[in-house]
Amino acid sequence: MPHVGMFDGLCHREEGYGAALKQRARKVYGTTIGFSGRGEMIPNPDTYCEIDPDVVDQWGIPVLRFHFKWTDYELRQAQDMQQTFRAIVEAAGGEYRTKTRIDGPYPFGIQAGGKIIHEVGTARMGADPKTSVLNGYCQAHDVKNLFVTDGAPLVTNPDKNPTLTIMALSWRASEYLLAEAQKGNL
Amino acid sequence: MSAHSVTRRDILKTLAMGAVGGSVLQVIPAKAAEFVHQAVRKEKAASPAGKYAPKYFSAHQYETLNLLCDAIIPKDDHSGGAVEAGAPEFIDLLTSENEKYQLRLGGGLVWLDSFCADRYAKSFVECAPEQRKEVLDLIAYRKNAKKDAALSQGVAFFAFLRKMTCDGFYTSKIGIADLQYIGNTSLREFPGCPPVPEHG
Repeated sequence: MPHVGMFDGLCHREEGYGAALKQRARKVYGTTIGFSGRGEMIPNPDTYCEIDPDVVDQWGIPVLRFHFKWTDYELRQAQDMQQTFRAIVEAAGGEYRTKTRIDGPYPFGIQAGGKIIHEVGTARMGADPKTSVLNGYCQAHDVKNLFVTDGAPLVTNPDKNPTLTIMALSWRASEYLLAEAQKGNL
Repeated sequence: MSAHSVTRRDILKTLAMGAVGGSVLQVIPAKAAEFVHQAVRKEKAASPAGKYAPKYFSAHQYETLNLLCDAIIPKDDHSGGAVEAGAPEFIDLLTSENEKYQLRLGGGLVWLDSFCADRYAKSFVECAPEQRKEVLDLIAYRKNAKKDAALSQGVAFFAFLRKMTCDGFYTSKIGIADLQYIGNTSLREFPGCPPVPEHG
């Protein structure tokens, strides 16, 4: 639908005024499409949060501090998306006009970390207590009567909405919790 | 939430923020632009003379603004121009709630008049049509500012006004019809996809 800012690019490229500008706007309207890709982030050792040694919040509680880095796993997904977008556009007889660069801070158009995300992870599940916080039932390795059933157990940041996965995991955790409680293990 | 419970000021501010951002992701909803056009229509309907009273620009500035909007998007064989579509009202209403716009457009209009005064000893409005065209041909292109730095403020002003005029025009009923946009209407039945044209 026609909206504010729609012809900013046209005005910038073509400049001028009058009937020619109007005609050009009519000609280019509806001839462009945009793509937005979603990928899955694999955790890496350079991406974590920790308690900030210096900063506290208004209640005097130390705040979290975040460290973040993309790796080749994510960059290659972004590269693949660009290639796929280009192939789609060109197969349809269009012209690929991306302005994204292959280097710089946002290679292949990848966004800054945290810009488009679902908040999941940080208390990942896994078999090995050395590399995970929870077991497969969302139960803490260290504290047997602690279950974490929100988005925190997820081990990667998936490209899809995580709510159904969170519900499935917490369903399984609940059944396990009930069974363990009935056995008197908790 | 009905349109009445949102204040006019809220919407105008939102629109102005979106327009300043300028990126595709920050495009403001078409609804907010429609609200502005609607506010103008309501005011015209309520006034005895059927007229809109400018909220920010002086009568002289508003007359200049009308001439500029008409030059940027004139009437042609397809549709009416920016003035008929309500671009000057759209711009004035937005500007009345945004200090940055006030400076860029208000200051730009003063710049334009003083430029015309230096050149023709007249204000832009008083200039002959050929003289106005001469001025516009100078400030409508960035390359002219590169050749003559004295034009750069005028070029920046005109670029901003051209953008605002497009926003006002292409969100109006006339502008939307000009682009032949037919979406957002319900289909009573779906007759299937239109036939695919033969690929040449």
